[in-house]
Amino acid sequence: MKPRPFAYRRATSVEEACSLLAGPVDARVIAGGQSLVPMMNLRLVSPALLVDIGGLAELQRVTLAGDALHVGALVRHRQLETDLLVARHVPLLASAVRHVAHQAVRNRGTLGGSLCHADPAAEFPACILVLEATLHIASSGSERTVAAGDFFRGMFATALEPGEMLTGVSIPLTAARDPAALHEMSRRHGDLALAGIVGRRGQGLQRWAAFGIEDRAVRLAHLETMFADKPQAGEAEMLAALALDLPSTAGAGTAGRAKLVIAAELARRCRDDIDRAGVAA
Amino acid sequence: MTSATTKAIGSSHRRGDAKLFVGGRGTYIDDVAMPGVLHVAFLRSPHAHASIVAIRTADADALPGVVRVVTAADLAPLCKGWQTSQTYPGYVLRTQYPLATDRVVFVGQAVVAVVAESRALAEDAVELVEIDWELLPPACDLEGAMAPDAARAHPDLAGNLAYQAEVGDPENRALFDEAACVVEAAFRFNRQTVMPMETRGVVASYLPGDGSLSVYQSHTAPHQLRSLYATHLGLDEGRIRVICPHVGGSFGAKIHLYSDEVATVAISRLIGRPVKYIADRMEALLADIHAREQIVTAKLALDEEGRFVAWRAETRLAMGAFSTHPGSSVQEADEAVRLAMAPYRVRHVGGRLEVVFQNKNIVGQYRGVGHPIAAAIGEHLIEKAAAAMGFDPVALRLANYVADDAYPVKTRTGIDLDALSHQACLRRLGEIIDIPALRAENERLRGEGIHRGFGIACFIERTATNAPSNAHIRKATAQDGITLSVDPSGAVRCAISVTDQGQGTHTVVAQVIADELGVPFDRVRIVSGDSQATPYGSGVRASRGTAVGGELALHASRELRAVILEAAAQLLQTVAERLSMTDGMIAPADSEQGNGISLADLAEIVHFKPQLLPRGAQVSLSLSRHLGHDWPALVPTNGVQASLVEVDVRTGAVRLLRHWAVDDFGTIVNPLLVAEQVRGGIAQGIGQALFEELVYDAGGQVQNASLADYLVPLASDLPDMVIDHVETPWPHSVLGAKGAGEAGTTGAVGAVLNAVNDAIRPLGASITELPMTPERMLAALNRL
Amino acid sequence: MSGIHTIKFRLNGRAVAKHVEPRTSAADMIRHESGLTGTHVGCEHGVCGACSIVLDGAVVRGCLVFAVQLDGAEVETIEGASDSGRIAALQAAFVDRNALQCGFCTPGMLLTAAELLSREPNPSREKIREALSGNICRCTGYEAIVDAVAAAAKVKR
Repeated sequence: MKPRPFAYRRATSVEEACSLLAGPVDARVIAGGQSLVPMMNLRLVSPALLVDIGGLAELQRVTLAGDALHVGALVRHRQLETDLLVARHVPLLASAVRHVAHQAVRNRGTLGGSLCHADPAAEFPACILVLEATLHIASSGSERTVAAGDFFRGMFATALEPGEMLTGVSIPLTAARDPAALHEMSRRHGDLALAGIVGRRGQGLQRWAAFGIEDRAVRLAHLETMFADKPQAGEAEMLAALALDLPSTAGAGTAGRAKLVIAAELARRCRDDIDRAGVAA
Repeated sequence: MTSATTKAIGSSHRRGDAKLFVGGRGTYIDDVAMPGVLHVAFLRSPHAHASIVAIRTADADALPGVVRVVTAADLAPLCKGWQTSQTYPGYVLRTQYPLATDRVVFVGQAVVAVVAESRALAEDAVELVEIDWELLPPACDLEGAMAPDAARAHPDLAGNLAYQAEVGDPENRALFDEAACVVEAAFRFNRQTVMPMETRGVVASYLPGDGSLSVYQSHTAPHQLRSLYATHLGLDEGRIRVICPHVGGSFGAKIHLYSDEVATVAISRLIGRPVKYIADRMEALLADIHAREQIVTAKLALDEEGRFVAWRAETRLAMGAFSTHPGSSVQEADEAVRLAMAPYRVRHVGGRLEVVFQNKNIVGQYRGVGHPIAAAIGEHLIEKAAAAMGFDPVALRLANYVADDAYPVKTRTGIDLDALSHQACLRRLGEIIDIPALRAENERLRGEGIHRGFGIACFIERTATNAPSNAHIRKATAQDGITLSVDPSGAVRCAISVTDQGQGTHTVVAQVIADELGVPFDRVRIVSGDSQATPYGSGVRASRGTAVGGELALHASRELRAVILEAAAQLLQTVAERLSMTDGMIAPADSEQGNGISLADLAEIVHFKPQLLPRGAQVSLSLSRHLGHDWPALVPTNGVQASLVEVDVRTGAVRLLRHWAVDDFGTIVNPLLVAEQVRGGIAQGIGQALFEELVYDAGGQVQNASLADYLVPLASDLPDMVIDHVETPWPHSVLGAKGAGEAGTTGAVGAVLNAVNDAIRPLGASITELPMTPERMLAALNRL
Repeated sequence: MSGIHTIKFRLNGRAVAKHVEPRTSAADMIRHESGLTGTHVGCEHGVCGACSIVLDGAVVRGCLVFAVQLDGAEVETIEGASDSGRIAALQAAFVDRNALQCGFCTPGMLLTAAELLSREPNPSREKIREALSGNICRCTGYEAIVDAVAAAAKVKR
């Protein structure tokens, strides 16, 4: 189980990384490598060039920038777990990280890597959806931003174009301070989710997302409307809303049905947690 | 003669090799270095069933660093192919070859081998091999395997049935029709694999100059391998040496011989150079033996007093495309049917087994071999009957057990049982758990919406094989061997045919020698796993290390002790009968101090100063002994396990809260090691009950051949386990030890199955398909 | 293009230089180039934890780091941790409690347990189980390992 041959360059700046990525060969960024390398070892992915951005210190920081918390793409999961600013301003991320794999993977894996890998069962994509975060994307000589809702395009697919790299994520502080909760069910501790739900309740708004169910993390518009109309909705109503939000799962036989049933229970737990947090606040 | 001391046997000596392992200083198969070694990678079949129309290897062959691309045609002159060594009347077999010849019959089957300077290069070249396939319909449906229009796993088969047998009493419908209560269930045990942490591997070096072959292999039975390589490759067995270095777990995976291993050895013979093959994890999941996949229907009839009247079980095992080798695939089904209900007095016991070909990987002998299924089906129906009739499940078992003092007995399925202790084990379980209080607490919690369940499973298993050989079985020899020597320093060297994969065989054998010879434990060193350095024997399989190896060491030690005492008597001018040896000091049993001689001094004299011995005395401080016993081929053991679980009825999640085991392993040589064998075994049984399933789709593609998707239990999934024992020594040996390696797995499956069902029975639900995944639980709870 | 890179790093406290192909994993290099075979390779896709190494002070999967990425890094293997004595209490507890059988997962378990105890000197059993859940052991059922880590924590306190 060895990867195919590839070339390796260690970038010393975002600009250099982008210019390497914009070159003629199929190039991929490697940050923590915790998702990419298994796929390379299994020969499911075989870039011709790996651009190692691990040395870019400017992407390793968590900073307050105006009304947002900026998390650099290279901030490791372990850092999210222990960072004081994250704990204070975005407790949802700090709690989500405990569901991510195991310590040795969290020691190395990065937020940016997880988002760009876009595993449908990963926690962070769903978190940034409900937090309505903005992703910062650099390419040679330019930068752009993409709303979280526009970033995930399918299984392992994102809005990143060739030659682009993610440099960080901005999380609006107002959203981050809302009561929020994440529940997931996995077969074993640290496994990718069988089903997961993230919810946030703001001033007159509900933001909910599911992961581990469809081919990407998805916003749950019907569930949001339902909770807005009926905060104490029961299981049947949640199931009905989820079936509308997750149509391909609802049609996927008993396996899909099981995911919906589990998702409804997870949504209930999130709702109850949010209620308690709301009361406490 | 009685043993002078019992201080080593029965005490928890720590393993000497553990100190190596905690420093990372073990030597496993991939750590074996050989100058000039080349690396092998296999192209494995991507299809469940297909003809090979053409193989084009030119591009692979041209890749720099590739030494040779090898196909079946290259190996055909070197290896004739093989079927299983363990045959049964009417068992339909198909011949396996090192590489697929004209057809592939399961996903993962080795087809082409590439030999290159590195494993990575060999994998690169594998991708350059082109094969034209002609797809054939795959036979993958177990339920429909015997339908007249079913696809056949091999086109020349008349049907997919490989073997069938009726076991015990013929079916008697009247007994069921007239019974006060009949409970029945259909079970599905899904396919698992073994997953030792270290994958299989071989380093083979054939020297064309003198025709000698050295094979290093991650395996538990070096002599068996040596015989098999000689047979399959047409080599002189006397010129083959097989060495098993430290083995990173086997649990049955490494008692078999695999086509990729034969191919690797044959390639070394073909090219005359040392070659190494280390299975990667994906290959391990696809091609290491699989296990368990059976559909079973069973029914139990009881009279009004709850006496077991009749039992019948019918199973169908998905064998895969071939029988395993050298042991057969049949055992998994045969043991399941034969041993179900064996702990009980049942007037009428019968069953049927069918073993069918499938275009899937081969089912072999994984820890427990059929016994976990036997226990699960019988114990599940007993608890179901207890619930249906309103009996306490413990009382129902006690009322039906074969009494502890009634042994020996022969079961109605033909199995000889002796020295078992179901009553004592269940009583002991009742002493360590307040079962009524626990059930009452579960009942109370149920009122709060918390669904806890408590389940029990008792079992018999047959292990510690020392089977006389039938035909060319060569998997377990009728004899095991030992050589004991005392070196001039007084150190004791033991070379023995049983091996150690971490369960502690070496430690246990050293304990027996220490006691029976009368030397300090630390002065005994064990060598095993080298066909050239150890006497012939079966290695380790079927929990035989202590029961067979310990017994062998006991007899040899006693004989050597007699030799030592005789020599000492001559020096001390007394008679041997008056002497004893303790902690390496030989002295008159009634001695005042200073009147003896140390073993080291005696050995010094024997080795270097024989002139001090009486004229004409020839003392040999070295002897070899073989032990073939006249016991049944397999030693029965018994035990009982209990499990406490909590079911989240809203998500289908099952949480294990506690687990208990009471086993009867006869004489326990090392309580610490035995307890950890049981715990490790329980973990694997829990894996079968809740987590592990290798999923094939209808086309024979494996859906989860990665360790992220094949779910073995993790530390956070498992409960603490209480381990206890009843000791009924095996009466047909001197040591009295029985097998202890598989009981944990055997009992855990049924205990967890029963606990889960106990939790959901009040909701009108039941589940009989393993593993009990959240989806299956939700379906059982009628939530889907 | 996929040429050989020269890397310099510290391995178990000693400066080393290696010439590596980019695709060679850190685990393979450590095993086959440096001869430190205590780093075991169990799955090569980041699940089992047998190949754990300590990279710049944190335990990581040796199969998910390419050797070429080690340039300038500080690496410790089970051999280094063992020889330095820093995990001696854990090792003694593992031997005493028979918290290993085949020994294949043991180096990774020890390094992971040592990291846990450095972060949490007094972990609960549940916390120990959680921390070890990224390291698969197929032999023990984990309880003896949990006991050993708890015992070592007590000794260290």
